[in-house]
Amino acid sequence: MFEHGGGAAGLRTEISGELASALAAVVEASGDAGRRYDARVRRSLIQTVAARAYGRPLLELAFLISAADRIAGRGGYIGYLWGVRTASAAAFKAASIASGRLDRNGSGVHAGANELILRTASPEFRISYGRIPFLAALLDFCVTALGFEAVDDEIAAFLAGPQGRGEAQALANALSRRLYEFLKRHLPSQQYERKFGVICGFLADRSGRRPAAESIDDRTILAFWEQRCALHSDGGDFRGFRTVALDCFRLRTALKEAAVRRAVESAAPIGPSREQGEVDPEQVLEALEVVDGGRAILTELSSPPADRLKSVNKREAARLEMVLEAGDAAGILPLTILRAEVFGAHQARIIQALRRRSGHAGQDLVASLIGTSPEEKYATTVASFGTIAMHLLKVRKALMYILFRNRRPEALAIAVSLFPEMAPALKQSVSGSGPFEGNVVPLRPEQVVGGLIEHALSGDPEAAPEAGFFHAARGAFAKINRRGFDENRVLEREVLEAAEVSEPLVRDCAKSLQDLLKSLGRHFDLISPDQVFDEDCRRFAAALAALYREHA
Amino acid sequence: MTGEDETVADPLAKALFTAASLARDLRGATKEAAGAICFSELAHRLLRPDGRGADAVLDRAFGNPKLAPAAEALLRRIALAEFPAAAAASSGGLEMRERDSYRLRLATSLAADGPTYLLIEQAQPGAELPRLLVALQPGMRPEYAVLPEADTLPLQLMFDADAPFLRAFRNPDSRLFLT
Repeated sequence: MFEHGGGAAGLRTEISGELASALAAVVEASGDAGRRYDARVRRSLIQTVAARAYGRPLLELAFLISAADRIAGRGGYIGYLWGVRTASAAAFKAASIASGRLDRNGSGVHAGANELILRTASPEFRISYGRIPFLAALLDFCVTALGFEAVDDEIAAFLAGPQGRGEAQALANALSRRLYEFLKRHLPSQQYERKFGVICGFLADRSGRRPAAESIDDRTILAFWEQRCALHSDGGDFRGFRTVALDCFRLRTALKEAAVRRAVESAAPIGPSREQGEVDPEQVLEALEVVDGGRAILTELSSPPADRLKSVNKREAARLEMVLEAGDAAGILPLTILRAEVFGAHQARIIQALRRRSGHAGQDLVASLIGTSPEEKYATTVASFGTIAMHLLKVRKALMYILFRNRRPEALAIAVSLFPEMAPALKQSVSGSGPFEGNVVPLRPEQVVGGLIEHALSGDPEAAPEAGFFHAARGAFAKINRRGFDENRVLEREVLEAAEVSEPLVRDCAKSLQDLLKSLGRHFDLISPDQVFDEDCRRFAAALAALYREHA
Repeated sequence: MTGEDETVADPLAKALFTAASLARDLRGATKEAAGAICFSELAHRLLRPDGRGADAVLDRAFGNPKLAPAAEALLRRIALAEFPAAAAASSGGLEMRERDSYRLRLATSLAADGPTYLLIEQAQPGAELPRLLVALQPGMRPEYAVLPEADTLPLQLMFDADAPFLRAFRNPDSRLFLT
């Protein structure tokens, strides 16, 4: 069993160590210069396991194994899938095209420009090279979790036969059954289902209608936590305010996404009957990919290749965690984020005191902590968020500098997003003035972009907007004294790759933080942060006293 | 409506909340469990043993009681030839092993304290070029010899007379795998 989530969250999950190790062995596997699987594949694997949506991917895997075994030389499918160290689309494409057995001896496999085509299946089965890294990771996970011999025995039996669609489905079903049994033991979901029921019950009682995303606001979240503190009977599910906040963020997103899909489905003549509780895991995975995408930003920023540039340090990452977990609710639930930051840390100190001390001295310390205000006030936290927002802006400009220096067109896209007011001037630079101004479509856009970038690097910042962007980018880059932001390394391939991967991640961080700051600004225009803080101190002290009454 | 009534909520929302919570906790648990031995790393090293650090990966895999059976099964699956444990020669150790298309033979230098050569020869036509020779000894760490790149057999490797690999080769209880 794992306990994590940090501080007051104290989130105990029932995920087994065996499952965690198996997944870690796959997602942490090394490649040639970084990880074997890229961030997208790692994220997809975790989402697929979490949604238990491995049915269709296992069928694809069965076809891939069939194709790989036909074209690979030594080692058969093993040689094909594990012969490459970095599992990328390019590596599998190269391995496929280099195979001497393609379309020979009736292999029935053709390596196209973008996909492997298995002609022995009817109808023929196509697997894009871009999909193969994920399928390789899924097989890696099956082998690690279920054991190589068990999986290979199933595969060997499949490969010994005709390998048609029916046989591929049978292999997929066999692996699916084994994974189901494994996850039943190692990934219990009852804890989460129970939480869902309790929060939804509270929402329904409070609003008198079916739980909806709109019914989750800052007041409701605090009221729910206060109620659970007073009831004092959750077995740890809802003790930490931070945990409750995280649960409510996820619930809000889940309710919103389900409602959107319900609206779309209601227009379709036939669909899954949700009222009877039928939910297709594929549909869950599809929705999960939408809602979970932004949640892994900090993990990806601290993993290769993005981590070659230290865009965000540990302190900043800790501050950003709740903001990013809130996703698009960062601007809707600003007080919950603020409360989780300030009172979450305060509650963590109380929990620490409870763990370390016993007897009268411990009780006195807990009681005194409960009666004390948190060390950090809201105004300080907001200022800290503001500082990070400024830093992220500087990092984006610095990343733009790296991209400019490497003559990457993305540099201009960042420039327009950072300085939207300059977009008309930039357009003017491209189309020039004259009778066709604004109506000219460049025949060779890449040449125009290339020309703009050259001009950005050498032009007058006062006269040309693109040169102004570059000037601002260079200034920001020079001010960042962190790993990777080194003038001597700007043109290194690894640094460029890190910048390309980091930029959209930093942009999303910055966007969520801006949403939060704007929303807090509106809120504190009406009531001062100190007033809100004082009122919250009173409410939190009462709730914490109820929660820890046997210690206080 | 009771406080615990969950039937009013959308089943997709419930499944999605559960999956999103599991995904988050899986990411956290995976981070804490980092450092596990990767099967892909082991498989790659057995298939392409030429990179640096192959020995360390194989040592960790075969030295781990949980992964060793999988490592051996994988080795057996991709081996060009497996040389089982054998009865010892009258001199007390094995000097030659033969299986399928391959013959492994030790030849000692005539010079005093000279090296010992391991020859990998083709016993039957059609033998593929091997890349790695692994010796698994009961109760002891495995020994590996990365084979030189060549276009044809035989291959020749040179060892100091007291090299651990030679002791493993001569040990009649050792099983050898040529991949």
